[in-house]
Amino acid sequence: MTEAELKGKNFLKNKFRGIGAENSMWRILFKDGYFRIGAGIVFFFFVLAIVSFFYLPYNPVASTGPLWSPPSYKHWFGTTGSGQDLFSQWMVGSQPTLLVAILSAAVASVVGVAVGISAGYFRRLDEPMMRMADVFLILPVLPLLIVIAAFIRPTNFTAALIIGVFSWPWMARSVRSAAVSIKKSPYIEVSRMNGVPNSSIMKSIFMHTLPIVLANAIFSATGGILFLAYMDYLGVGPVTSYAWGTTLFYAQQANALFVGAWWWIVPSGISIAILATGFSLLGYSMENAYRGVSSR
Amino acid sequence: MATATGQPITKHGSGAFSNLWSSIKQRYSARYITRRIIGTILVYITTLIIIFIIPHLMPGNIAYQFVSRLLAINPTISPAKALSIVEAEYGLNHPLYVQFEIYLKNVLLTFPPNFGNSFEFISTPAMRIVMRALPFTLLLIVISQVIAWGSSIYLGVKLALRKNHLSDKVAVPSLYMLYSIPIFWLALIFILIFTIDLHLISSSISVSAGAPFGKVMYALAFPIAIVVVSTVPNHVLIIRSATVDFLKSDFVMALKAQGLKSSTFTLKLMKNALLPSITQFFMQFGYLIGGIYVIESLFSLPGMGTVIITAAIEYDYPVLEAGLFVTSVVMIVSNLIADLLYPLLDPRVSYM
Repeated sequence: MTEAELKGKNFLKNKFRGIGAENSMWRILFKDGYFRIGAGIVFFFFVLAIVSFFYLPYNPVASTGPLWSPPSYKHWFGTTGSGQDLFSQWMVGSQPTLLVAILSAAVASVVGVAVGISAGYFRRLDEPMMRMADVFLILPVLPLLIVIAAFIRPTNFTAALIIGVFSWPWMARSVRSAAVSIKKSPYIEVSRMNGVPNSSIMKSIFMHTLPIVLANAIFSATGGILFLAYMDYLGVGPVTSYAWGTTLFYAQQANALFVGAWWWIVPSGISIAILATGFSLLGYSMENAYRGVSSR
Repeated sequence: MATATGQPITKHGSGAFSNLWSSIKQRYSARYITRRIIGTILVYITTLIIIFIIPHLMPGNIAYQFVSRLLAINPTISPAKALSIVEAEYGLNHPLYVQFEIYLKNVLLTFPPNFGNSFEFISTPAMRIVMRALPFTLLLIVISQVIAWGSSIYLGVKLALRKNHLSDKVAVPSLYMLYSIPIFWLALIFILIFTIDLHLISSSISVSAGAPFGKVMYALAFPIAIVVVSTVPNHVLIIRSATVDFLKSDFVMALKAQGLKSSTFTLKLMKNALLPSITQFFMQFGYLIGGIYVIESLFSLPGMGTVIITAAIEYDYPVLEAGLFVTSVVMIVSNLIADLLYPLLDPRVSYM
């Protein structure tokens, strides 16, 4: 191999680990304002979820204050129509939201990477697997999720599973196209000619698609947050936990709108939007950084 | 387009049509069309299988729900007998493969496809309930998307032209934010501001399926505004990134070198940005349609969304299946049409 090819071989690895190359992916990312905003948002909600395991101002489901109280010093986000503390509900609500977001992204990644890499590597599998991905892309995902949830009445884990099962095709598509382009690079050809087994070549292709997988997983997490919110709001979501969407569902049930209880509606909804934006900014900046690095 | 593809413009009455036909013949091979249609049939069959599987994911079977509903109405009936009658009516007493056979026969061979009678509106076919709601939903989707699409083409191209300016840098994250807002929450906030606080718009105007068009539009105005606000960010982001890519091409350099007026230049960009975003749009249609359903149910409009969501809350399984089936068919057909129209709209694309 020439110098340039050797450099090319270590290049992606260095980029991902941030060793050696001056403009490694992480360095580019940390200079990016969008990335810092997104990371800050996600970090904040992670801390909130962890804190809510150990400390809550009030019991989120017990009646602990006056009914329909607007935000006050005692109840920062006010209380519900039955006197539950909304600040505690908001803190607790971050747990299932993050759990479902991460689990559904994990499910989508596992299926998407398996399909994408095998379709990109084995030419015979390419056509049938990508047609299958197309089938899943055309399905009306959100109505389908609502109906499935209405039938099976999910827990957090089954909700994450069904969300993941319907969001893998995006992952599979981008992983496949990356795998195809990596497969054509000279060092893969050399190792194939040297008789390196398929499994280890696929492993190395996987290592090189990792930045793309990560960016796409973050986009799936965004989808997971929104899908969970829709399911919870319609009252078909996980019944065993109290997510932000559930708060909105109860607000709707109690006609909070017509009482004018904006404090019951605003924090949960805006948190869904902010967390989802945080994840999308992370994914967007990672995708940009990857493109910037690989087109250099 | 006819001149662009080198076809003579015919003068007789069916000229436009025969031109279209000849350009269709130029752009597609028979092989492509058959492949595309076989693909569509494959998607259709997968959808049918998914719709069959979903009710069987549930523990027990759907007859128990129906019988408990009957018992609530009339406590004197015998549950065991009612269960056996209901199971016989919906074919639930057969083994699974026979049920699948009956299901396929009901859906594929009868027209309209038969999903059984509704649990809630007893002795009304589920399919009839759904079909009655379909035109309303289509109206809502078409009007809101035409408005949203038109304004986003303008905004997206403008933003792409101002890339790296401050306005673009602020606009992109705020559009992501707006896009990440669940549509129902946006609707709640709109109602809170415009109806409850400012008393500007009434949020509950009753309208039925057969109402005159003007009245329907009056009732639809507020929901349409909400759908437009919530879908514009997505369209703008897609069109912006398509235009940003497009601005790097040699083609644009040539356009600039021609010294066109900036308005003409923008118009040409808009025309070009429209096409690549169509495919993207149809990919996210599944999410969009769900949001529109939620809006319909929130405003109690007599559309598919209200039907499906009410059915989900009331455990009305035949209506759920029928609603999902019709939604999928709408998606599949619109995807096929978009795919086939694409080369007609864009002279650079051909499926030979």
